Amino acid sequence: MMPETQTRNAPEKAVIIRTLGLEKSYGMGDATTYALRGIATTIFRSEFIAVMGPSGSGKSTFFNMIGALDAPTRGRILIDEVDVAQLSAVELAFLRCQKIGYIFQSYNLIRYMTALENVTVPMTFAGVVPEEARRRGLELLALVGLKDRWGHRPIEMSGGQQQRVAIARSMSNNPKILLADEPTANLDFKTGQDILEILQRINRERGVTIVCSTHDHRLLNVCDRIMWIRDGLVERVESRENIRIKLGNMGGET
Amino acid sequence: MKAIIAQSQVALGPARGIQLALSGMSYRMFRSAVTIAILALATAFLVHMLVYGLLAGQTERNAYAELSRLRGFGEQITRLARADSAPRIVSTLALGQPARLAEYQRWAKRDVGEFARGRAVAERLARVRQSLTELPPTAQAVLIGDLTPDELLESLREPATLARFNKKLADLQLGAAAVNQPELVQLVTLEMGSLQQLTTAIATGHQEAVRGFSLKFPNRTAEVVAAEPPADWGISLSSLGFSRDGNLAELADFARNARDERTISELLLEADVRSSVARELNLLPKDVDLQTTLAYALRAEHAEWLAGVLAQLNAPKHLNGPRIQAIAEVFKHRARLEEILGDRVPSADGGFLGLPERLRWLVLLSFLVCVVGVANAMLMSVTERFTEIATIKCLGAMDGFVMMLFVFEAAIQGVIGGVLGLVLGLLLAALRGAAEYGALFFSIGEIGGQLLLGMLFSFVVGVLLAALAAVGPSWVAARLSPMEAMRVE
Repeated sequence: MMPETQTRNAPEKAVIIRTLGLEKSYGMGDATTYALRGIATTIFRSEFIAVMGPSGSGKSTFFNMIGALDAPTRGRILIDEVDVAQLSAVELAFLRCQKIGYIFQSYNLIRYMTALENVTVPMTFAGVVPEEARRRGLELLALVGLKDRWGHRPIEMSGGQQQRVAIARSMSNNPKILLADEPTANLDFKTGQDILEILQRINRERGVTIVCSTHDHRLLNVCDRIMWIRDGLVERVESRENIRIKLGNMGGET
Repeated sequence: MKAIIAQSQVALGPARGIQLALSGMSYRMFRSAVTIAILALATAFLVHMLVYGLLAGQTERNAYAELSRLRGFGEQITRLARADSAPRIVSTLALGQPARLAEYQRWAKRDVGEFARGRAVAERLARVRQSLTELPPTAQAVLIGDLTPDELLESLREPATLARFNKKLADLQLGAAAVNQPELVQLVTLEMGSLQQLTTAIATGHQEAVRGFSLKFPNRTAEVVAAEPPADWGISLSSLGFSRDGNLAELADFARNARDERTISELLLEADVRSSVARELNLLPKDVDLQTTLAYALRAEHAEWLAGVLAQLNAPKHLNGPRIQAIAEVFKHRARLEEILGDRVPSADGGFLGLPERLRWLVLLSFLVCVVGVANAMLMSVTERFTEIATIKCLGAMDGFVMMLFVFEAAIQGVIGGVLGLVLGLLLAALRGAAEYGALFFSIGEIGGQLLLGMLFSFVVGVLLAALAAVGPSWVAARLSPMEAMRVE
């Protein structure tokens, strides 16, 4: 994964996710409701992009699409220049297992597994032998600062710790993309800060592309770009340098 | 790499799947316990039905066989006691059995030489009979006509008929080999008469002997004959159908018991005995009967007491305590057999593994309920794990793996439920059988194989039920969209 850090500062950024005229509608005829109305966007390799938007804006739908969890009604999603719609079930499972790491708002750790077992589940699916999985799992737990708690179950950990385990799990097969769905929404101010720092570190040190949906304005301090979604359309995309100036208006915006 | 993930999920799948299913179950102990309990109950129900049905059928068949044997003895004794038994015995006698020679000899009051000659004649008679049947058909038509060989030989004892027969024989020119004419003539003119005399003598002697015995023991011929068969009486008995030698000892035993039971019931009619038994048993004298008395005499000290009471009334000497106790036990055994069967005749074929027709619907219905119950429990298990399932799908699990996870869970529950149900069902069947039939129930004998088959069948059905019930919920789980993982409760 390290070579990707070198491309970060290259003038021509490599594209990792591209969507073309992405539409998603539910129902038929007059009752059709649109969640997405044609999103065309590009996400570059190794960037940290925040997706913001009010509830019902289609943010979650967009997220499911680029995570290859849902199929669009119209339009295309290209991940690493591969059309997701063309993938077979096995290839989709491969994509979810190896290329994308998911971080959820409610952590979604498996209740009856220890931290280490949780982290190594995706490695099992990837065919990593148990000893290797254990070694890498402990490494990842060390990365999120929970090496000592490897034998604890989710119920024995705080929300912040659970989310850190979830981050370690999302990293278990060295994915190129991390999709974080409101990772700090269930956490208090301080722990949310810790989570964001870990995400930023992963982005900076490992060159992992991070797409993070959020309402958390602190995220604006760590991300490279912000994508605003409203009524199923991309309202605007701004880079962080620009947003800093407008920070005063943020409260009214979201 | 893509091939690896598909392969690894198959290769690592089962072990990891079982592990996941087990740890998942341990975490949802209560729900698993409910599923297992439902399966165990259904399996137990089936095991109980099958095992109990098989053993009950076997017990009734055993009881029926034994009771038929005992009733058969009773009938034989009755037959022997009938007034016309002596002539019947004689009429069924047959000659030419060396083993019985001594007995015939005693009845006929003849010497050994006479019997030897009788046998020689009988053999010659057989030879002539044989040669007559071997004649060519045309010769048979001329010589014998419509008669049987025996009727022909009988008719040839008339000199005129014999002469005509000889003439026909000469006309046919069959040659000396076909019919030995001098032997035939000698046989019909001299020897057949003496053989008949001998047979008559034996029959008369036997008849007299039987009659004499009947006179000596009026009204009880059969019991006495059967209970203490004198060496001479073997043929008399076997001619009445007691041809199986092994049965004689048993029959004698039966007859002895019948005689002693009768003696006791006769003695119970005596006022003295009746009143003392009534006092001892706390009954009214009119309620004292053989059954209550013998039931009381099942215990050794009570039997001794009864023997003492009977001894005051010139009861036969052999009616001591142990003997009375033994009679009481036999009586109880027979009463138990009668009670089990009543007037029913158990069918030899009990249907599938002894499961009666009317119970089959009940079993089927109970399985339906079980499947619904287990499917419901599994569906709940799937529903409350939507997030977990969706999450592992996000982490790269394929539909097949998720399906396998739930099928394994169901299978593990099925096996545990099956084993528990097997134990429970056997226990129930044993308890019910013991209550219904007592110790008779546990004579497994030749149906052991069927029992094992029944148990195996129940177990397999239990596991299959779990698998069947798991199909729907597992399918739901496998088809679940990974998007569910993003949902926030």
